[in-house]
Amino acid sequence: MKSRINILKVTALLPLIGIMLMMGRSHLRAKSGDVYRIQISGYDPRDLIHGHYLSYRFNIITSTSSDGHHSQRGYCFTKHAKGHDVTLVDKNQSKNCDAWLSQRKLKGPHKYLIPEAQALELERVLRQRESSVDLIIHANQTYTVGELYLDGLPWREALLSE
Amino acid sequence: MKLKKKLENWVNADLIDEETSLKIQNYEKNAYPPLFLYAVSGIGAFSIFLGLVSVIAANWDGLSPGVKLSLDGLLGALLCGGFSVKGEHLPRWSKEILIAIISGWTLASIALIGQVYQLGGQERHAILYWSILTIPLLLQGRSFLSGGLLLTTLSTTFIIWGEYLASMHLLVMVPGLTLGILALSTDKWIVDHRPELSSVFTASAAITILGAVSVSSMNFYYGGFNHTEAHYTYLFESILWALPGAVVLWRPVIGRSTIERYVLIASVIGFYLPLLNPKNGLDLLGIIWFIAYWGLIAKAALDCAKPQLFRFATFVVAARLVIMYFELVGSLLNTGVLFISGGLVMLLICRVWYQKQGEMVERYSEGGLTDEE
Repeated sequence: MKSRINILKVTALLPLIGIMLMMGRSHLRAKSGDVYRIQISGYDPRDLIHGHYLSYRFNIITSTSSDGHHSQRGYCFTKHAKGHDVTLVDKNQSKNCDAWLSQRKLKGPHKYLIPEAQALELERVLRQRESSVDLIIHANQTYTVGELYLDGLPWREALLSE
Repeated sequence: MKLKKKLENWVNADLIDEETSLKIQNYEKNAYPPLFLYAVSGIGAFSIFLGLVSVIAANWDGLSPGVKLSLDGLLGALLCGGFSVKGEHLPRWSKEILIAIISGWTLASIALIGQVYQLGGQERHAILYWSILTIPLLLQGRSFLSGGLLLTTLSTTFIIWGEYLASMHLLVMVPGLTLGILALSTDKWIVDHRPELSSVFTASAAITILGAVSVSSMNFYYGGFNHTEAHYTYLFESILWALPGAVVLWRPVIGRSTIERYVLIASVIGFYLPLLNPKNGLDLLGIIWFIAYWGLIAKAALDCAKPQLFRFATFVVAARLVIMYFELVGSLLNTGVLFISGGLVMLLICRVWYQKQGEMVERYSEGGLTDEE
């Protein structure tokens, strides 16, 4: 009976522990790593927003960089006083970079969640302004997406200033 | 009320004494779950849940991500913490409802974290994580609700990952998985310790098998099997997946009636054989295939004293015969001949039906149903 009670307690707490761990990990990942602001554009310029999501791609992706045969190639991010540079290099050259991400991971399309109520307004503004997102790159060569910016302003502030 | 009156009559007629009457009344009072209480509490809990969701949803966009996550964490702590501390002392119905709510909260929380931290909408990872977190809890359930949720969780995870890995392989695995679930439902431990889960598994596997054989018979209409290496590979793969379940099922089935063995064999053949048909336009064969299979199900239901299944199977046969006229209608002469022959077939079915129903009533009154079940 005792072991049965313990099993019930553990199984009841497991979802809570799992969710707290997920929250903590996501929070830590969003707050750690190198931040690079990267310009984006709509994946399908005629139809930018699907329901709750803005479907986009990173502007650093060029026609030559999306060549699937070079699976060992990726984007080398290097910081300097005026900002940062992004170049396409092989993985074995990544030690010269401040951060490196494989091109497969950045290929997209990517989704950015936005409140549905503001979708139409945001879609209109996105067509008129330059948009970018914070790409937070971690040491294990993975990334998290941060805030969305319109002409350098966080998107909520940009919509308010309209 | 009716029982009390009957018992009073039996006491007055000296068939039973007062003490036996009281014993029967007490037994009947405790023998059945308080379904009304379950239903009303369920509706009440669902109503509160919907109300909370609506209130939060109405102001959701205005809340900051931190507040959203805090509210979610607080709700989770109340639900999971409360259940962990008091779960063992709660009445069964509230325990089952709480398990279902915790499962829903877990999925909603994963979605919320994904939204707040822009995790990119990888649904398959979210569903897998949800399964890992909730399956142990759902296994603690002792109701059809928990059993149904467990099966839904497992099926959703399988489908979403199968679709991602290769949708064709997902399809070829379905018959094997269905037989696997049916085999699992006959496992002694599950039958003894989780009878509700066993019932849910049996019912869902049976519905899938009946549906799959019925849909498969449509292949006589459209054909489509190409004698190519790819199609044979898929077929071979599918049979391989189905084999373990069929082998495990064979042992429990072999100890049962001949008709149950026939049903298992007919279900496997009935599903696969039409898929091998390359030609289209074999409509009549498709209809005969369908009716023969459901006829066998009706016979098995009759032999196993399952009146509801028997009624349903005969209804399906009758419905299929009616649909046949719309499909095969041609010249007036053909239509006339079909209607006359069909009418005769239906009358014959009705005669057999009533005859057999009479036999069934007789069998129940002798206590046959209890013995066989």
